[in-house]
Amino acid sequence: MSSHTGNKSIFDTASPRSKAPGLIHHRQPNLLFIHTDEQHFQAMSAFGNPHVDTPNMDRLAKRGVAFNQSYSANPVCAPARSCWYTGRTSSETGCVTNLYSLIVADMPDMGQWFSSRGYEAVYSGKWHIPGREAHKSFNALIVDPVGIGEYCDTNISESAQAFFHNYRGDKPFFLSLGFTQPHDIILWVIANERDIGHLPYPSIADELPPLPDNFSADPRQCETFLRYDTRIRKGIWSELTWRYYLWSYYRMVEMADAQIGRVLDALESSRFADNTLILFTSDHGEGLSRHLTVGKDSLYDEAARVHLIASWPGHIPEGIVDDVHLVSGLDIAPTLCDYAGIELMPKARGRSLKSLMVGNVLEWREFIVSEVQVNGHMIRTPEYKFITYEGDSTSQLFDMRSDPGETTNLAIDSKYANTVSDLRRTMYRWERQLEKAPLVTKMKL
Amino acid sequence: MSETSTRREFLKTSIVGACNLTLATYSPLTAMRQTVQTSGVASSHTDPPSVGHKVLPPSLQCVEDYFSDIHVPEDLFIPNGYWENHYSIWVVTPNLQKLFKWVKPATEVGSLRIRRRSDGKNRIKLEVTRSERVEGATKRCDTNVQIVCKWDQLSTPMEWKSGSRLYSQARMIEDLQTWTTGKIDGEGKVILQHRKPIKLRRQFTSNWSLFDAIQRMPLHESEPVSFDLLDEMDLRKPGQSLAYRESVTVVLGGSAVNLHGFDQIGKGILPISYWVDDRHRLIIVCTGMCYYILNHAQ
Repeated sequence: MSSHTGNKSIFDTASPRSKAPGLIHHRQPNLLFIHTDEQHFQAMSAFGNPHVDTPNMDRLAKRGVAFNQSYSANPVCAPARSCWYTGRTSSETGCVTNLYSLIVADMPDMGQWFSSRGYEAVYSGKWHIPGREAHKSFNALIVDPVGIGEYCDTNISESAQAFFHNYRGDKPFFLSLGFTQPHDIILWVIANERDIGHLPYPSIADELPPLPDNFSADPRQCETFLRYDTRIRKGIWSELTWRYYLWSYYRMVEMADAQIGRVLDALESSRFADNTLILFTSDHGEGLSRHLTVGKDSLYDEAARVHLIASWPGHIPEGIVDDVHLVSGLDIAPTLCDYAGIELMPKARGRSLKSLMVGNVLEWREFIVSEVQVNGHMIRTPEYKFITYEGDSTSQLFDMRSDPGETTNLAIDSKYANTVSDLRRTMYRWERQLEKAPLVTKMKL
Repeated sequence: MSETSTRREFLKTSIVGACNLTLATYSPLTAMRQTVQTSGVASSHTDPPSVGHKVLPPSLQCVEDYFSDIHVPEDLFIPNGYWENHYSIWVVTPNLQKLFKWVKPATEVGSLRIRRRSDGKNRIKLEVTRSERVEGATKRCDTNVQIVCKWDQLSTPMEWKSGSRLYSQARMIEDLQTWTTGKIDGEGKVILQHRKPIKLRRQFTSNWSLFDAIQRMPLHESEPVSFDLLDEMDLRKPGQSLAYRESVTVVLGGSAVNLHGFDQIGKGILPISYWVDDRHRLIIVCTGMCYYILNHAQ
């Protein structure tokens, strides 16, 4: 590769933004935050899925800790990302929907936080936080490119490759990389509004994944879920079309995997290989035909649960799968701050995962809470998941140990009335501490 | 108004996500149907074909509306000789404009030029130049690849140089340019500068090589070709298969043209369709949502 030419670098360490009081230089790790978009928590071969081949994501899992009970703080693109970068819930960031709700103007994000504390904060890829421009918080390489992963993800991985090769600054870096895939599945669903009739590529017939066990599960639904129903292909698509959709989705996951491989190879070939913590996750999941849904925007596991993998060989144990501890997208910021050795972001609602990773935790949280669609809430304990929407008469309760597919709504069974009350009470106690932002919208189109 | 009512009103008056297919006040399927009815736009995705009309394969259906703008050169084309093909790069998102009226069904995002010549030593040299918009109208990425290939069925790469440059407001960003070299070693491994070796099957090729190889394939059904793909010269995508699909006659630029289609299926790609004309010139490539469409007016 060509060497740095000596022209003024875009990573100029002399810029005012880089000055940091109380800076601790020595061996602060570099931080690499890799995220995909709309990746189902089971869409990885490392976790036993035979229908997708993800050698590079698997590489991270083998070399790190995979938190398998990880949940998006709000399973929709913009709200989830606002939670990552601020450590606050979406009802606090104000970014509660994708398009028309704006993040609170003066709420600090990780780009601002890290760059004012001695890090070179760099961003490349999908950003999607309305009301906040990435280049005002980060040194932005490519931001919110043409929103098609198939088209733009290769530019993102190349920009990371170039960064690892050309960065000459003496500050540690915090690099956030946002891949769009497999989010292209949304465009695929829109393009295939009708049943396909017959398979356009007959040679793949034997490769089509089977439908999941909870494909047609229809536990008594909340009214808000029904009003904004993501089961838009119910009654339209045949089994063949559903399976072709699954097959196409897994190819998109593989596209993302290949790009991540380029990034990991570039990192390992660089001088940063030994001193970089990697966190890998997705903003939310994807319906993938579970409960007949496509897309996200619900609190079922297919949309709300995501993978979260931490890797730093020599510093974090390798090949560990944590199926026990509940973690959240709110934990991203505290974890990165903890490893960086800088103070937590103000009023961060999550916890650092460092103690879990080094096996040094005596007590962990008993629940996590997620939000969706302005008025939707989920509380998840090790045993149960409770979903409710403000103003709805129907709630949902699932026994996640005996019914991980969320097929039977126990909230309508009076035997579980006390469980529902307890969970509701816990959730409201959590909610009461939050400093909810006013709902501010852009002009409606 | 209670906080709950306020939040429900907020939800009703804002679209819940550009990407999640739900609209605030009515089902998206109804919205799509209404848009088609009121706009009068007929799309092969919504109108059933008329009796006797052959249904185009999906990769051609998506760009059927643009056939009148595709002009196939009439000059002599020798796939085994020197040639230079220019393509416009499009992203095509069928039906998206039914939900979001400001979105165009197809957007031109870049250009591709591929030049091919032999070196007189039974080898092919391919020169690829691609220019793509990457961030609205402000940033552009230019990629240049020079590959020496075997003159075999798949134009197997032997050695190459590949690089990309990012431009912001037409000025190159020095820190973000990349260049790398690669070659195949004696054991069939891909050796890349600054990267670990990549092991591929004995038969492999690159995505750019296929722009050449496809133009030398027989225009009829034959045994599928299996190989591993070295996408963009460094992304390993195993288990590919390339096979003749079918031939169709379409009207391009006002003239009837026979197109012969090949489909590539494999890991890490959506099905890729290649369409060549009777002279074997590659006219259309569909890689999923991206299209390369021959455009010698550039």
